[in-house]
Amino acid sequence: MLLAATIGVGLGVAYAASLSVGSWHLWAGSQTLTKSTCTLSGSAVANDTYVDQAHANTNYGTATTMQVHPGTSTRQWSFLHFDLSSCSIPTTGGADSATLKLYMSNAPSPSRTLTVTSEITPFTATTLTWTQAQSLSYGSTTTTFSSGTTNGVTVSIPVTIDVDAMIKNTSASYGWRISDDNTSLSDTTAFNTLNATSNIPQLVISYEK
Amino acid sequence: MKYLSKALGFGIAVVATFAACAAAATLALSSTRLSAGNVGVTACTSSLAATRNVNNAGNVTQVNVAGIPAACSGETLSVTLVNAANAALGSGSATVGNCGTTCSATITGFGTVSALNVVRYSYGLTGA
Repeated sequence: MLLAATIGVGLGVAYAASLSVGSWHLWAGSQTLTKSTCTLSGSAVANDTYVDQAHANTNYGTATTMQVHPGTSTRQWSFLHFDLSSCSIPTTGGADSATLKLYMSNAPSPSRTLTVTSEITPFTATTLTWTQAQSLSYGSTTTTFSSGTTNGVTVSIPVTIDVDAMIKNTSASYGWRISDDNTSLSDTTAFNTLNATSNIPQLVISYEK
Repeated sequence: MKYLSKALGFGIAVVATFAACAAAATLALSSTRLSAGNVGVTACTSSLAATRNVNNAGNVTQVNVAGIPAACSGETLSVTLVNAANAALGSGSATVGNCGTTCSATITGFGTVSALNVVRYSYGLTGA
């Protein structure tokens, strides 16, 4: 018997690839960043001081140390400001990291938690007093750090977010206040100022532009 | 003779079967729909420039792209943070908006990416 099986395979419908292009706009590109560092130190680019609640109208802008002390009537706050203009970072740039380096000439005992707050109104280190400091405007807390109890060490304090803002807008921050916000009495923490003969404050910036 | 005729018939059947199968293998396609065409793919910009914000740990929190041509309004902007080894560290996307004379876009959600490691922004813009 002749078996003639015709297998007709008919694919009923075939959908060819539709070539309609969904994206009418298509673009790819890149932007390369330049990296560098800048270290600021010295009275030409910085100023610092401290204020004392117990001596509310006294300025300590020429002191060789700046002090931080807790309490409710004996508080002391330290202030620092750095001028970033000598780094020549454009406003389109930014800080990758920024570290404030302070030499702690006198460490408290026990260790204290100190608060670094962005200072958002300008101040003059050679005239600032406790009374005037109450009229300054402060931003949010940048960071806190532990003092430790060892004299003669350099503490490194990250202030990247503030320096990044300062690069983009010179009015974003005018430096920092360092305070001990505990109301209970304790030891004083003291840092070398720009008036010290050595180990003066530094601001080390790694940036991109 | 009888055997020969049977063998011949069987052979013809086999051949016919395979012929039919071969014919079927052409897969007659009855395409009911087939289209082809082309469209022009253009770019709404030739360059972009970004700035970025960081947190106090130095990690990228957002990338800001301003000055985007208005022709890019509504398109999707993707940004990839790239390191020196050309590896992607993180990426995000946003819709181009906030258009006046130009537009802008803010991209977040890169994960934890240290700004120190970012040496390049890689952009992609797509849209209709």
